[in-house]
Amino acid sequence: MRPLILIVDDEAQILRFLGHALDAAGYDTCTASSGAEALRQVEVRRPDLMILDLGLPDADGKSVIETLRQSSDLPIIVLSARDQEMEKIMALDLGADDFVAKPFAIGELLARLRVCLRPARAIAPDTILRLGTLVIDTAAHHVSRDSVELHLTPKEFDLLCALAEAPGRVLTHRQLLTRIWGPAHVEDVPYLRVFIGQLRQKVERNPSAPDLILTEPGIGYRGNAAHGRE
Amino acid sequence: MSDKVQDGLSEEPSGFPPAPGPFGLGATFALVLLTSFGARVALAVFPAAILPEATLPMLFLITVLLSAVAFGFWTGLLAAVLAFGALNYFFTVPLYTFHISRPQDLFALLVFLIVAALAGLLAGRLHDRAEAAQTRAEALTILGALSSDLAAAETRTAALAAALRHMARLCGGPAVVLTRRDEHILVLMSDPVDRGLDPVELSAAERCLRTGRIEPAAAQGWPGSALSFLPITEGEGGIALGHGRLAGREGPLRGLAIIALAEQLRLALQRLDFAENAQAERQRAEVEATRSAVLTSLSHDLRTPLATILGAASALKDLDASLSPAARIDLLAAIEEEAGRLNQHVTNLLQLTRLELDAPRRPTWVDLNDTAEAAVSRARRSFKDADIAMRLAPDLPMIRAEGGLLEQALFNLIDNALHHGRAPVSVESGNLHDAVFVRVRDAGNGPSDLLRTWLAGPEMRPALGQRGLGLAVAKAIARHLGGRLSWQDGAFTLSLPNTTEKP
Repeated sequence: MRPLILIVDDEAQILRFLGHALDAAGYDTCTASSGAEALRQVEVRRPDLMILDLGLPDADGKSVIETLRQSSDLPIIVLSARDQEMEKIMALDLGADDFVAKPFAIGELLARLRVCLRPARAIAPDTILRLGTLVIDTAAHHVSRDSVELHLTPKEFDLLCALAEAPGRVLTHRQLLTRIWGPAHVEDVPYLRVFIGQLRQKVERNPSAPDLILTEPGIGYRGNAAHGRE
Repeated sequence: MSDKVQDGLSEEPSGFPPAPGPFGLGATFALVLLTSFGARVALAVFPAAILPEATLPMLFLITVLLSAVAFGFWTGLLAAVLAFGALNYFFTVPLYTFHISRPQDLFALLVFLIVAALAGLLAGRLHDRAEAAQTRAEALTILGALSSDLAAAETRTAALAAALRHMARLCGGPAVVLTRRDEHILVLMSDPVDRGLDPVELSAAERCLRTGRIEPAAAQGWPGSALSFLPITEGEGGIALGHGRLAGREGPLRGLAIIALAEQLRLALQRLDFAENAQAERQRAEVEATRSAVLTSLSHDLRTPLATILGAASALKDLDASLSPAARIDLLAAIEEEAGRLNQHVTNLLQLTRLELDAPRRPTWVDLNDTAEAAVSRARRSFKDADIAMRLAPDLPMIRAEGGLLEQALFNLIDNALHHGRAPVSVESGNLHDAVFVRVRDAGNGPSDLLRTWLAGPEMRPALGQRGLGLAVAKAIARHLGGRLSWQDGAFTLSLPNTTEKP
C-alpha cells in the first residue's frame, strides 16, 4: 500500500506540482488549504505524514503542530517561504520532525520524507547504532571506527547517540541541550557548539569538512542520513 | 540702601527690612506737618478743658503708627523722629525753635521719642510681614498657575509662552525668552510684544547663555543691562529668560519665585524633549514594521512562484520516468504560469522603486480606451478562462500620460480583481467633470477597511497584511500621472486629469 501524504498549503500551484511529484515518487496525496481543514483531514484520512506550510491564512502553521501534537505523533515536515530561523526553530521545538525551506528541489523533500517515514525502531531497541563508518554500542558505551576504538567522554557519547538514533533528522539546539544537559541548559548553545567541535575532532575523518555531523545553521545539527543505519 | 539688594537675586530675601519708597517718605512728611498744623489750629480753637496739651503726644503717636502701618519700619522710625521734631518746634516752649527751656519738657519729649520709635518699629514690622506674606501668596499663586500651564503645554512654544506670561506677572515689568542660533541671540517672544534688546542687554544675554550663569541687571541708575538673564538650557539653541528689575520691597522674594519658575520651565522642556523622542521612536518603529511587512510580503510573492518552478522542474528531471504524460504537461504549464507571475512581481517591484525615486514624467497623448483594451487582452493572455467584460465610454478625450505605466496600473487592478475578488470582472471607462476614469469592478466584497484607509492615505508602500505589490504600484502610478486611485461606486477607480495642454 502506498503511504498517504497530507499536503497543507494555501498556494494552489504548490499543491499542484507536489501532487504530481509525490504521485510519481510512489505516494498517495490528499490536500488541505487551511489549518482547520488540515486537522479535519488528519481525523478522516489518517495520513502517514503531513507536509505543512507555516504561513497559512487562518491559523499559523505552528498552532496546527501544537494542536496535533496533543493527540498524535504523525510525522510533520514543515514547509515555509519564511526564512526567519526563529519560525523553523519554534516549529521544530513544538514537535515538527523536519523542515524544508522554500524554494526547494523535489529531491530534497523526498529525502526528508523517506527519513521521516522510516519505521520507528523495534520494540527491543538495537544496542548497536551505526553512523557512517562509526559503530556505536549503546550498552557497552563503546564507539569504534574501522574496528579502532574511539575514546569519548560520557557527554560526547550521549551527543553522538542522539544524532545516530535518528540519522538524517534535524535536532534543534534546544532538543540536544535538553536531552543531554537537562532543561536548565536550553540556552547554552555556545557550550553545545564546543562539544560538537570536540566530537567532530574525534569521530570525523576530516573535522574541518564534517561528513557525519552536519550543521543546520542557526537551528541545530543533523546526523548524515546518506550513510544511515545498515 | 541701593536697588542692588532689590535686584531679586539676593540670597537673603528676609533680613534687614527694605528701604522706604519716595512715596512713603513724602506721605510721612505730609502727615506729620498736617498733624502739627491741625493740632495748632485745634489748640487755638478748643479750650484747654476739651483738648489738654497732654493729648498732643498721643495725636503724634497715631501719626507714627499710621505711617508705620502704611509704609513699613523705616518710615515709621522716620515718622517718630519727625514727630519728635514737630512736638519740640511747634508745641514746646519756647515755641518755633528747637530749644527746650524746661527740663521736664525735654524728658517728656525723649519718652515720646522712645515710645514712638518702639510703636513705629512694631507696626512697621507687622506691615512688612504682611506685605511679604502677600507677595509670597501672590508668587505661589503664579507658580501654581505656571505649573498647570506647563503641564498642559504640548509644544515648546506653548511652554515658553506660559513661562513668559507668568514671569512678566512676577517681575511686574518686561520679560523676554531668548535663544542662541548660529552665534546670534534671538528674542523668541517678549512681553510687551515689541520689547527688543539693546546692545548692552544683548551682551549680558550672550554671557548668560555662554556661561550658563545668571546675569543680574545693573542697579537702577547704573550703567549696564536693565534686564536680568537666567539660563534654562545650554548649548546651541539654548534658551534663556530675561526679566526687568524687581522693584518693590519684596523684590528678593520675587527673584526666588522667578528662579523656581526657571526650574519648572527647564523640567517642562525636558519632558517635552522626552515626549518628542518617544514619538519619533514610535514613528520609526512603525516605519520599520511596515518595511518588514513589505519585505515579508515581497519574499512570499517572489518565493512562491520560485518554489513551484524549482519544484516542478526538479520533479520533471528527477522523476521523469514515473510521471504520466498528463502530469508532465501540467508541470510544464505550472512552470510557464509561475514564471509569468514571477516576471509580473519583478516588474511591479522595479516599477515601484522607480516611482519612489520620483522618476521624471515623460507623458505623451494617450487614448484611455486603447490602454484599457491592451491591459484586458494582456490579462486574458495571462489568465486563461478569465471572465472580463468591457464597458468603455465612446469619444473619451485623449489625455497626457505615460501609456506603459497606465497599462501596468490597469493590469494590476484587473489582476487584483481576478485573484482577490469574484468573477465576473468588468472594466469601465468614463468622463466626469474635468477627469477621465477607468473602473475595475468585480462581484466580491470589496477591499478591507484597512485597505480603504491605505487607499485614501498618502502612504505609497503596501498596507500591513496586504499581499502583493499590485495595488501599491497602481496607486503610485496614479499619483505619478497626476491622478489618484480610489474606491468609488463599488469599484477601484483610477482617475486622471483631463488635460488640454498641448505637447
